[in-house]
Amino acid sequence: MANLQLEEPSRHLLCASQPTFALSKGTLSARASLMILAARLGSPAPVTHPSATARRPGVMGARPNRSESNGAKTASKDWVRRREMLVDQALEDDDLEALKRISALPGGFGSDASRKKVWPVLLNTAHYFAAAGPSQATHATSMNGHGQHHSESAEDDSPDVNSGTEHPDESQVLLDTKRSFVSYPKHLAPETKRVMQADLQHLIVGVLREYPSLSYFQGFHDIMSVLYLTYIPIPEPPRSRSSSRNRVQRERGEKPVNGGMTGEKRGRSASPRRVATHPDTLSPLDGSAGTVERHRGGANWKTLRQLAAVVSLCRIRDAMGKGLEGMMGLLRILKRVLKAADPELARFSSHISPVPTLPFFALSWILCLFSHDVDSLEPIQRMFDFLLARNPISAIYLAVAILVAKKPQMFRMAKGLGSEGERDPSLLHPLFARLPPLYADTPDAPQPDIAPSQRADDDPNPYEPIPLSLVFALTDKLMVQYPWDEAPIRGDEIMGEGSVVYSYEREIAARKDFESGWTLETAVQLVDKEVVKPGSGEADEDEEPSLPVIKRLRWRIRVPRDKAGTAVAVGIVLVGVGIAAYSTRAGGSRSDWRRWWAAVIHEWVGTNSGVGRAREYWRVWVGVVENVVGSVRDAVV
Amino acid sequence: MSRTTSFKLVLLGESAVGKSSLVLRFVRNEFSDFRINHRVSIGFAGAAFLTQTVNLDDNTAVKFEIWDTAGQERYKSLAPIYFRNSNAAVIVYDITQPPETSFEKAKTWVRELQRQADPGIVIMLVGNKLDLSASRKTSTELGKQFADEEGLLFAEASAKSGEGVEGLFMEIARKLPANPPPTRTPASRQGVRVEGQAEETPSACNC
Repeated sequence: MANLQLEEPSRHLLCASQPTFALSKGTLSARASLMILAARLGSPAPVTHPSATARRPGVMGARPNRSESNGAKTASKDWVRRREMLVDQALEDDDLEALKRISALPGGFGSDASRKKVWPVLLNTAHYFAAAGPSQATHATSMNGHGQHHSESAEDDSPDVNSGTEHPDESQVLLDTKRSFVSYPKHLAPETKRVMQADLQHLIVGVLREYPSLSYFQGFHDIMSVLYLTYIPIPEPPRSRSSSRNRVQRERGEKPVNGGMTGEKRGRSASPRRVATHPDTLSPLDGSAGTVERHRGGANWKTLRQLAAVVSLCRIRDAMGKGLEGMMGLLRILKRVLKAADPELARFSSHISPVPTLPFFALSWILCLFSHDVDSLEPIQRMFDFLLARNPISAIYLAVAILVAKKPQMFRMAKGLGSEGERDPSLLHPLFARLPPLYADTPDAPQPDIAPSQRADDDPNPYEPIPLSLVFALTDKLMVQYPWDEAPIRGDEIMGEGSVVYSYEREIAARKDFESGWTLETAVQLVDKEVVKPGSGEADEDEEPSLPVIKRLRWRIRVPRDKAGTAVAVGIVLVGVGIAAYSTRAGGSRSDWRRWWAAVIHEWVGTNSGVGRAREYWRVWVGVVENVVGSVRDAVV
Repeated sequence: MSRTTSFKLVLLGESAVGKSSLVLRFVRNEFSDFRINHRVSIGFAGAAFLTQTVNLDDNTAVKFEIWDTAGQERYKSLAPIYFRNSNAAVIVYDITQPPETSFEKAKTWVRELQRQADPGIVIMLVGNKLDLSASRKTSTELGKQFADEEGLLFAEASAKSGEGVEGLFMEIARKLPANPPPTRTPASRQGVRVEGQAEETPSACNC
């Protein structure tokens, strides 16, 4: 009975968009079907050829229409307010688990204002910088032994090049910061960009001089740029101030001034994000070199510098040693997780690199915490929300979840390459390496209103958007299902005791135990120390056969178009069963999953129009995701 | 009916000498001032993987599959993964820098290729930023001489103006063997399955 009810609307959904699916009976799994459906629902616009979408206006993640629409305003306000209260409560309780869970939900922490409060808590900056006093929070004197003081005080008006000992990587930093802020924010005035690039250089050089044992890697500047954009409002260009500010704000994928709450009272103590009149930032940035630096003395800048230090030392330290061993270790783990999560995709992926050893296509993802490859700000902020709330190994699981989520689309495109792709699988490499547009979904906007961004001057993204909460839910599920330090992943055989994946536990312990001895100095001492286990560079016993595979590979993917609707319907049922089984195994309440599942069916039956069904289903699916996240959390706890 | 042969080409060279810019000029005939919208390449061949086909004559076309690379020294250890399987390499340096910097680095890349790449690899040494020849610090003769000694192709070019860019890729195309490169065997071109491949074949295979 349920089947009959499910099948019809599903087919309807598919007809509303494009009924081509990279699916076959062999590949159909509950997860894959859900992913397909999610991808489909995540994109109301029909699939078009990349060239057709290349000039389509609009910015992924930006929702300029919503905030101007009265209809959506109320709903938006409600969920944001509720979410902010939830976040505030969690912050008050220092409840890391709650923050972790919230970070994965549609809407994440709710607002930029919340995010800015949460990140320092997730990174526990108060612990490391307590000595300087939380309010002043001028950074503790340097740990480089030179006694240099890198305070972010107002008098520090030169870009750190006048203080401390020059770090050998500074010239590389300059080469890269001069090429920064390229993908986002969009449409920056050249002068504005120049100021921001100088800020970024200042930020990075400051961290490197303070912790000289860290090495800079290309891509570190991308990570830092996300922190920077989160805490430092975009400087004012010299002319046409307000119009360009508002445009830039929108292009950043943010809500307009005041955090999308224009003209509304905010219920909580959260201060409105009055970018345009921020005392720290507005006036000093009108152009003259002498005043440009002044905002670096503000509280935002101090927080930024602290976060930059903690992220560098505690979260991405493995990438900041002399070599790439840590990253190779993580890629090996990624390969194993992918193999566990989706053996078919793992086999497929092993054929697309010139040498089928490690999934190098994902290197920049994990090295840069996705900041290099995501092309708008809001999604990468949400991903940082998620990652900062978890063990750094979560980046590996997130990478795998993204691969699994985009698999159906990828296979469809691979199929489109035809015989050429069959002859030369490395042509598929760009399909693997390219992230799909990851949509920063919220409870009131579970799918994009507008077309995904296409970098007008660059190659368009061939993928349809995938909602982040879906990917996050899958990531959490994979982390529980395949713990990194247990069979079959056995990452503990690869990563050394000096890796961030181990020291994260000490970091967490220090939240409760102030005498735990975990400080930034401890972290400094772990740079380049036992990042990987000795001998872990050797090939896996299950390593794919070497070179000849590329010549031999013959792959085909069937696309049974007319069966797609049925397949998805069946998949949905399987997922329902899966969720049920999973919830049960995870100790979740039976009535819980039954309730959710009943809601799913109820929504299908109860709606009328096809589009309405799609949207309604989507809301419910979001609920299901929340439920799964909840179950996962229960299982962990 | 023209015949198209595919070749893999890898770009190497120090950071910010213009590797990605040369590719963009060649493939899209575009130049982006890096200050505006030119991203740093991270790792290898992410979105920077591009293809471009050039016609040698009415009957012969060469398709380049171009793998761009990151310039920072720390990524150097990854390069062999890509150039070991390449048919051609373009090694780029910046003529506006003194020879002991990016030109010297280009020379070490040549040695690296001579040591580890396929002996038949076609290497093109390129002095980029010819549009800035007024501030040239590495002479044409120096580059030419080194290329001659090592048996490399040599060109100077400007990704910004486009000067010399297509020409250098054409020269590589002409130098490449007319036969299909070693990475494509006749068997694989016909998609013949090799024994033992069954386990390797994705389950979606309809065979």
